[in-house]
Amino acid sequence: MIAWLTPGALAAFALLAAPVIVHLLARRNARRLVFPATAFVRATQAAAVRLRRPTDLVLLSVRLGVLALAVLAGAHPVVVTRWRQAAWNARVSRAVIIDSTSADAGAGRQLASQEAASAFRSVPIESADLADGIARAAQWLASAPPSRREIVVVSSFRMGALHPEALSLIPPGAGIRFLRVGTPRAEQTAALSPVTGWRGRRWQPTVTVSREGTRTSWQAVGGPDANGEPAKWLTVVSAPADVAAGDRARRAAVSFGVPSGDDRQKVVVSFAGAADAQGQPIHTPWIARAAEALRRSELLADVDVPVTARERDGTMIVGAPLTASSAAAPAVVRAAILAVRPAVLADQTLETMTISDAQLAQWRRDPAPVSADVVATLARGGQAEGETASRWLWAFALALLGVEGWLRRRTGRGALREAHADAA
Amino acid sequence: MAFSLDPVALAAIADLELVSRRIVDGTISGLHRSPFHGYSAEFSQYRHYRPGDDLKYVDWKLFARTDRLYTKQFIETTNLWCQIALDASASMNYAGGAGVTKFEYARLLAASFAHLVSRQGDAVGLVTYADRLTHYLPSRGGQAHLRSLLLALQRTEPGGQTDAASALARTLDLLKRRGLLVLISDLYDEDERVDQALKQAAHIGHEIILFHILTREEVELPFRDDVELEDPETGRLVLANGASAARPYREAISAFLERWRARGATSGADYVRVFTDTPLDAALRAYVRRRVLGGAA
Repeated sequence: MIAWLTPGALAAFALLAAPVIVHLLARRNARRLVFPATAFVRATQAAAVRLRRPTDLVLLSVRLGVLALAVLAGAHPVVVTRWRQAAWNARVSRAVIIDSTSADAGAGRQLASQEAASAFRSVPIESADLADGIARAAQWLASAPPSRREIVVVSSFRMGALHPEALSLIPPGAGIRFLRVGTPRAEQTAALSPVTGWRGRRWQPTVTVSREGTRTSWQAVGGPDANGEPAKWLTVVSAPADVAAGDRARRAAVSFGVPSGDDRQKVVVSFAGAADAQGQPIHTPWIARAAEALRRSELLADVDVPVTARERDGTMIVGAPLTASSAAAPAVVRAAILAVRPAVLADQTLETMTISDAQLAQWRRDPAPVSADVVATLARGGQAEGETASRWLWAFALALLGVEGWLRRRTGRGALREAHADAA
Repeated sequence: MAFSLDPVALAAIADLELVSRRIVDGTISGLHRSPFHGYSAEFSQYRHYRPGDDLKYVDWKLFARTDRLYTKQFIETTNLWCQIALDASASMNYAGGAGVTKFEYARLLAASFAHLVSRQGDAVGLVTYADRLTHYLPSRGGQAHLRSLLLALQRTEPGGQTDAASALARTLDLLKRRGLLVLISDLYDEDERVDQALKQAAHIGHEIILFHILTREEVELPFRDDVELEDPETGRLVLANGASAARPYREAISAFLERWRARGATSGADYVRVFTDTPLDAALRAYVRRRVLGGAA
């Protein structure tokens, strides 16, 4: 079987017409010679017919051969023999994914280097997200030379680190193996972002995850803001008659606590009747992110208030079609706060449970042998560049070119003799 | 001493007298008797036989009486009348790969022949022709006449179609007595009238020598590609592929040459085929030796 790395180059076979045309045209240019014994030369029909056939079929054949070989070489053919296929099957291209969040990442790197050493080609991919690592590994394998292909994942495999969806990114025919390193501690503790405003103070939440469950403890770390007005980045505007109601709604929302964040990201919540609630379409990334969070807000879904999000001069404008005196107004303001400054985020590195060995064994897949079809696919992708027969074809073409030159010189000498006779 | 003279080099020398003399010197060196004979000779005296003398001139009766060998000597008189007819048609202006045209070769041959005949004291004349006679010099002896003949040869240029039959007929009219007629031509004018003219000449009693001048290319047709061949006399064009036309051509030209050889045999003519790449003195020497040793004429 022959696979072509550059099949488009085969279109250059049209060039083979060129020498044929040249020979045909050369044929029609019969030289005129004065010859005294012309009376004995038979101008047969056969001679006239031959005039329309190419001259010097041997030279023409050699020239066609040179061109054909050059075109074939340009198309980069890969000849897949049984022997070559066996050689390809004997080697493995391996992408080793190292989970940088593993409990013992150092041991993981050591294990990865051992795996790489036994591979024909290998690449280490370090990532905190195994799904991202698998995607990158699949991308690298797609450009690997013909060989069996395998992904090795080195991780402690905390629960949630790997999903079946991520495994679907593995290319067909490629295998996957899992090497577990380290064991998560039985209990993990992490300090989360401070929260301001709850009970007029600043609080430091701490999360503790264990096999039994997750608990959060809060510790007061300071008084309220200096001016007694936390969340100055948040403004509520309403109809003049509802200004007091709007202020109440704001204070109510802040009283649940405001996670720490960037005070430059300002938000205006505008209730019905507010004088200045105009805005433009969103183009600032953090406002777009907050608008999306607002759209998915469960709080707004509970009160069933459709809000709009726009921006003006880098400030997010949240428009609510209800008055500030409405009972749902504090929920709208609170939803806006959480959209801009999300509540405590769960950190998966705190996970203490792991994916079971049985599950990993179920996901494991051995690399498939290199089939001719796979080689064709690889060849089309250009991964079999070093395996092409192009250099041999070029060498053969050069040898034929030498033969062509010799034939041309020989023909030239014959023509010269005739030219001398003609000149004489 | 025999060595060859390159026809191309000879043709490049303008002095035809010098060249022809050089050729003749090479041709007759070592010969003890003339290759051409007249019809009468007047007895002059006896002299003692010397080794190398022709035995047919030994007087055997005198030997019987005196027991000594004596050779008869004759008064040398002009007894051979030679007329050279040279084809100066356009077809003779072809050189092929030899570098010298057939006409240049034939002109040298004619000059050498004239020199040879003149040197043995005989009369020689010249006719050049194409579609008509272009030069006519009657047969005469002497150095002055030879120079005139060579000058006429020098001035002759080939051109026009061949009408050998008319030229030969006219030449026969002009010849006043029996003699030697030397025709130097490529003989492409092959028709019945030429045949008749040759037979008539033989019938009258002329001795005929046909020098058939050819190039190798005319025998082999060495072209391989497509060629458009132009007849220099008629201007006729023939389009042919050299490779495919070669075989039938060679068969046709072989038949043509064989016909001329047969004509020579039937009319009693001496037919000599000469290729222009053959050194002229060598060709002439070979012919003369053959003639002397074979006792021709």
